[in-house]
Amino acid sequence: MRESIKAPLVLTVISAAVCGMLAFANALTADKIAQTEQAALQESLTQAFGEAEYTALPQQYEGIHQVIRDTDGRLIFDVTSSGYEKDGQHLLIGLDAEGAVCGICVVSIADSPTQAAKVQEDAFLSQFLGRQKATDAYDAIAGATKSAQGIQNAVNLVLETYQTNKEAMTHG
Amino acid sequence: MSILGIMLSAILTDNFVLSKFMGCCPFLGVSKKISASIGMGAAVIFVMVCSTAITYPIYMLLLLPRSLAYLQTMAFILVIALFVQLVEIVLKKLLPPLYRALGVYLPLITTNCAVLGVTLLNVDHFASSATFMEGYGKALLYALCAGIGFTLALVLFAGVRERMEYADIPKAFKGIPATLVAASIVSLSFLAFSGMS
Amino acid sequence: MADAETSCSLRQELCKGLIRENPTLVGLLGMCPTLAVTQEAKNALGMGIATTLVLIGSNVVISLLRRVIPQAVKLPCYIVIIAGFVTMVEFLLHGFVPELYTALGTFLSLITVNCIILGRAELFACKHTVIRSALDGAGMGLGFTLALLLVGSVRELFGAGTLFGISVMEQNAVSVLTLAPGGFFVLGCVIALVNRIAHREPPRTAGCTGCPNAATCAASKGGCSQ
Repeated sequence: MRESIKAPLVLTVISAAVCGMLAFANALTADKIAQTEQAALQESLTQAFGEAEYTALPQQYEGIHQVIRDTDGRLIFDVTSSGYEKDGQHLLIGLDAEGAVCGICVVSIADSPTQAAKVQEDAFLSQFLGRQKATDAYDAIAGATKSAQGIQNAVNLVLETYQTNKEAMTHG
Repeated sequence: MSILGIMLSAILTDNFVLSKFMGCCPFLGVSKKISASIGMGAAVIFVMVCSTAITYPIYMLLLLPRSLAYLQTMAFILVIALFVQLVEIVLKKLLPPLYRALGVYLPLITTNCAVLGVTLLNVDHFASSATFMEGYGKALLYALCAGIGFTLALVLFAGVRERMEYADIPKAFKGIPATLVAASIVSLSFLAFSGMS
Repeated sequence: MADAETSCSLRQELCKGLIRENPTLVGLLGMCPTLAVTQEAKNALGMGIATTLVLIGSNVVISLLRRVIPQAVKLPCYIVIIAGFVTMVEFLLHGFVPELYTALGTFLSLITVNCIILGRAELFACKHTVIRSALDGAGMGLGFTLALLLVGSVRELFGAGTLFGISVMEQNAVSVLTLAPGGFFVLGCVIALVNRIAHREPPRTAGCTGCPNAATCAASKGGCSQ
């Protein structure tokens, strides 16, 4: 009888001990992790859109991590899109005060190195600048079709969300 | 993700074994007989769906609201390990022939990357769904299709390996290396599906 | 459980995992990550180091607790301990090396079911002293890292023309090598090369089913041990 209680008891104790250790480790590292993520985001923002005062808007929209507004009235959308890898593209797409795309920054991309390089070229990304409406037509890239599609989808999502929620975003 | 999108991607375009590399060990190691592959595949589908059924709610209702998301790896693998042992006990009592047929492969499902992988990916992809039931439904569907895709790859490959038995392979390549090269060709053919989206 | 007798010196414990008993190229274990994260050499290196840390940690703790863990719940206990170390490594990478954390993605959590770690726990750590277990873990981990680096370097060099990000031959790259089929192909060739050098006939099955321990570990009701 003792034996059959000892087994689950040991397992429970070990599980509890591991949970405790992880909670402790989490408490130690949570701040650092939050800090690192904020710093990375700030760096991407500054790199792509210049130095400015950026504030995140509290509203949540489907498919978009967060919307950030800067002092010039630009709105920057933090989105994840799927290229070859599901949710492998992390993008920052900026719309100027009139709602036209003014910049696309690829924060990280999980597709293979060759495709990642191709979709980050100016020649490809520049076709999205100035767009104000979601469209289906775009120039794809040979050898990186899915990666290009991912970016196209992200731009469309951003423009559609902007169209529907313009008021809340610009004055909220 | 749409329902059809989930199904197509899990089975074809984003196949767990041939695109994501999850579940390789049984894929390369399971016998060359197609019947054994189907048996293994069925067992994996069952464990994937049932594990998702338990782990998804655990994450959404227990861990996430209490900011304990970091416990997911531990919780999920514990659920899978205990569940597989439960399945073993039940099969041994109720369906001994099936238990004997599966043999050593049944406990191996615990260490199958694809099973833990599908539970983790379900949380990644569907945790931000509009409602819990919508996410839960999609997660279960994804698990089912991932298992089907895994079985598909396994069965296809068993056929390939059966043929390879008769081929004249250089000594250094005999066994696993030849299997891997054959797998690369099968994987190449699945890559063609990615044009389907 | 009495400790196993061993005639290996401490140095041999460390070195056996590097080449002679390399877990991936000889033991044919841990192939999932070897195929998945070797698109770029630096990710391969990062994965190898992360796995080595988990391996050493889990080997040490399991060795410490070897007289306490009952046979019946051996495997779940090992798994919980390994998962704990994996989560801690996840914290470390997320906070201090975020690019590696994003690059490895789900496969970082999947270190938990890496056959190598569970295998060494069942085969070695539960029967040997802490020092030996730590060295065994380090050796196997470094051997695994070596295998990953090898495959990763070949894939990156011939697939994308760079090595660790430094451009070498971008004009002549064969990009399929960085995609899924390339992974299988390169690993197959590397193992074939190792077999050729070692003049050996490899076991015909990989992973758990090919493992010599399969009979005993299935019998001990715990499932795969390698």
